[in-house]
Amino acid sequence: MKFTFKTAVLILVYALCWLPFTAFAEDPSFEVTVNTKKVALGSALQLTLTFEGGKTDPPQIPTVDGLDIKYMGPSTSISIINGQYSSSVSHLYTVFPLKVGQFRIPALAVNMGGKDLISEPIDIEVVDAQSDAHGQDNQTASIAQSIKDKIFLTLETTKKEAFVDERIGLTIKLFINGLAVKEIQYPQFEHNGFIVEEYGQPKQYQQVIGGARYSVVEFNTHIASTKPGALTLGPVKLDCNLLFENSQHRRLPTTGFDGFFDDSIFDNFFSHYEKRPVTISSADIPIQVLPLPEGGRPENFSGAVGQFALEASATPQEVVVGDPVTLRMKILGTGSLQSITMPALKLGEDFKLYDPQIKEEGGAKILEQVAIPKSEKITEIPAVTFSYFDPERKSYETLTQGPFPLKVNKSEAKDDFKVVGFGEQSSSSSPAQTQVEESFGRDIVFIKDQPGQLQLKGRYLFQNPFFIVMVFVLLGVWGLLIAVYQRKQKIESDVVYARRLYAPQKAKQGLETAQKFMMEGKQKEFYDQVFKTLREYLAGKLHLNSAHFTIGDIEERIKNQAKKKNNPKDSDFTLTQVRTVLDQCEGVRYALANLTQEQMKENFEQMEKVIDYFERNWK
Amino acid sequence: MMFRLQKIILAVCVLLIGGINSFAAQPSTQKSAAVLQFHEAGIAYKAEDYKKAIELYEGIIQSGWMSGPIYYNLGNSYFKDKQLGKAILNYERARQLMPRDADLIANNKYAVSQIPNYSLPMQSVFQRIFDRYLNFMTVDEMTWVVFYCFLITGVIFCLGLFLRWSLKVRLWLVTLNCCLLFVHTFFLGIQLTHAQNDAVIIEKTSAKFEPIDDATTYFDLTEGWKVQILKKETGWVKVKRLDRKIGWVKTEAVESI
Repeated sequence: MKFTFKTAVLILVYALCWLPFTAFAEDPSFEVTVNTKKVALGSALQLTLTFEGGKTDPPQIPTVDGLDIKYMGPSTSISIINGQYSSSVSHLYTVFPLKVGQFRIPALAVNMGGKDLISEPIDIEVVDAQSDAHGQDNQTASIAQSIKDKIFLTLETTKKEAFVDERIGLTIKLFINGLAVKEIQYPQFEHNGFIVEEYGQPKQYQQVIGGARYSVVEFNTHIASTKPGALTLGPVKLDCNLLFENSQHRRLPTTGFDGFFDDSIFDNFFSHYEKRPVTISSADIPIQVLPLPEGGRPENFSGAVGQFALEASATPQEVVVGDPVTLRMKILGTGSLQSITMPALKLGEDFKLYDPQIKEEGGAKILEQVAIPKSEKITEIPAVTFSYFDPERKSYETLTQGPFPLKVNKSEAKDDFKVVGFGEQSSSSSPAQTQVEESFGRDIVFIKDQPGQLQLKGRYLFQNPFFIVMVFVLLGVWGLLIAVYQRKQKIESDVVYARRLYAPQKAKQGLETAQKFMMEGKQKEFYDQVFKTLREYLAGKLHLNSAHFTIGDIEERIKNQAKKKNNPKDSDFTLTQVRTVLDQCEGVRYALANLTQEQMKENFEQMEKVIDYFERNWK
Repeated sequence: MMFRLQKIILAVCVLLIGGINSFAAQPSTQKSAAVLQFHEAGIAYKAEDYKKAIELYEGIIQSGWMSGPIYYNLGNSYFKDKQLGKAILNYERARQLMPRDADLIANNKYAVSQIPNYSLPMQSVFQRIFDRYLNFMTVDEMTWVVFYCFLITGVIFCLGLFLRWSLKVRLWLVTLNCCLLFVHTFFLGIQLTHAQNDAVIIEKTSAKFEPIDDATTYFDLTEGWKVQILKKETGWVKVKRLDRKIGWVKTEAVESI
């Protein structure tokens, strides 16, 4: 049967499907192996922990001095022998030696399936790559004892003693021997008390040290100290990646082709390089920083330290009043340009100055400033001076350029161009018409002299009882007004109600008049009044026509009302009273009967009782 | 009938006038003592003895009397004594009694400008108009406005009935007055809420997430910040800053207006 890759994959899948059924059928076992027991410094070896018959987490490898062991990951494999399925899990570790020597990876103990398993310890030898490659003991060649002999960093300055703000050179070199290094970063270091400039382009070259050839990467920059004293520079740290060879063996399913993939060709085919990030450190170096001497310091010294040259110019050299003149200053030298303060131009009141433009270019600091002459009397631009401290001579130096001759012509009246802010200067030198901004002070306004309207604390108006009473009174008044209005409306619209309402008032007046007549003994007038009062009262109360109602009408109304009120005895009595009074009245009025005072009084009382009855029973 | 109505109206007017006069009637002797103490405090202030001035003004307030000028002068005294929080607190109290006083407005504004990192949140035009009207009157003045709206509503209603105005006219006038009444009642309610809940930070403090000493600090408050009290616990007060951040502060660091 022709073995193809497709067949191998099919077999692998088939075997994996049977994995659950066979995994627990085996006795657990544990084995620790390395791919090689001798490795060169700078290379790595592979440590494999193989577990069969069970699963377990990757065990922690104890720390071994001189070896850096890292876990790479698990690997699972299955095998089918005579139909018997077995599986194993391998945990892979990379062992990177840090120095030459003999090392032992100790025995490891794990618990699998309730069973304690212990591996055998493994001894490995780490040799120097070059001696190993040549396979002979070369007495003249130095043998690297550790990885630090193969890759290291150095830090150097041009001077160990400098002045404050003095610019000195700094060189950092990376030495590499027998290692593949990639992705080298720029060095970093602590530089408290120093200003560090940017690195220039790194250089690469070869250098032999103690018979060993090193590849060198050189970084150059400049530093300047900002404070005096015994300072320390560094250590410098540089990050890079080491490439090391790490060959791998993978156990493939054994189907009778166990040795097929063990051929050395395939070993090389599957081996590869791995990246290992490292940080290389240098030693630190002391630097003594001296303060600048006080003696001989010029007044206009602004902190520049180094060796400088000054160039200055003013163009054009002939202008009209109001035309600009460009002043150009250039300072170049070996000192720190950052610490240089460009000289200030003192041109006085005769010039109007604009803000200078300062830039650094080609290792020089350049200042350009526009000045406008205000008067034709100007003949020159004053000289400019620049002072600095020369660390080589250990003394202050002052450079001077100028003065620069300048011819200023009077401006013509026809000239259209006028510089804003200028007018013709008269001999009386009138003050410049500039608006002076007035500044005002701020503070609080003074206290009040009068206490104002004092009131009790925490009492609001709506909490005042009188206010509350006033509100309720107001509500009461409105309620009353509405009731009055409604009563008025009812009186106007309901005649029955109105007659019934006013009947007692009229009856009262009638009774008062009748009583008066009774007291006076005026019988006829008395009975006329009684008759009138009773008829009008009954007509109003019972809503009858006062001129034409009969006793029968009254009787009918009284009896109906008696039924409602269920008081027939009372109603009968009242009806009798009404008849009696009316009969008496008619007797006197028409029959000219002569009745006594007692009878008049009795009739009066009867009438009162009738009115009372109706007031009680007719609402 | 009309005679009776006139008698009723006359009685109401007498009651109203009597009521108004009753507000002016106060115990005279205690007030005199307060006035005297006020002038003494003013003398102390002019002599730059601000602590004595503070003591005298606080004495008037503790005796139960208050007025806008008393709080204003007290605020000035605290300001001169470098107690910014208490100064602003008393300016705010004075503002409740004399909100339109120009000196008070200027002093309050100046004092607030001394608060470090103090900033007011942006307000819309409506909010500014609303706040302005709200702060234009005192609580008592707003109460009077509500009362008069109430009175005018009733008068219009009754006049409309007795003078037989058309229903449409009565309805419009009464509705308009009712709207004014409700709006001013609403404003009054908000003023009372502010009066109860507004407070000022009187000493620098930290606002925490919880009322616990070890709780995480949410934000800091310097003296003078105006806040709103939301809740009170033992020793702690939950406050809301103008930018709506809420936190717990110690009771002694905040004082109600």
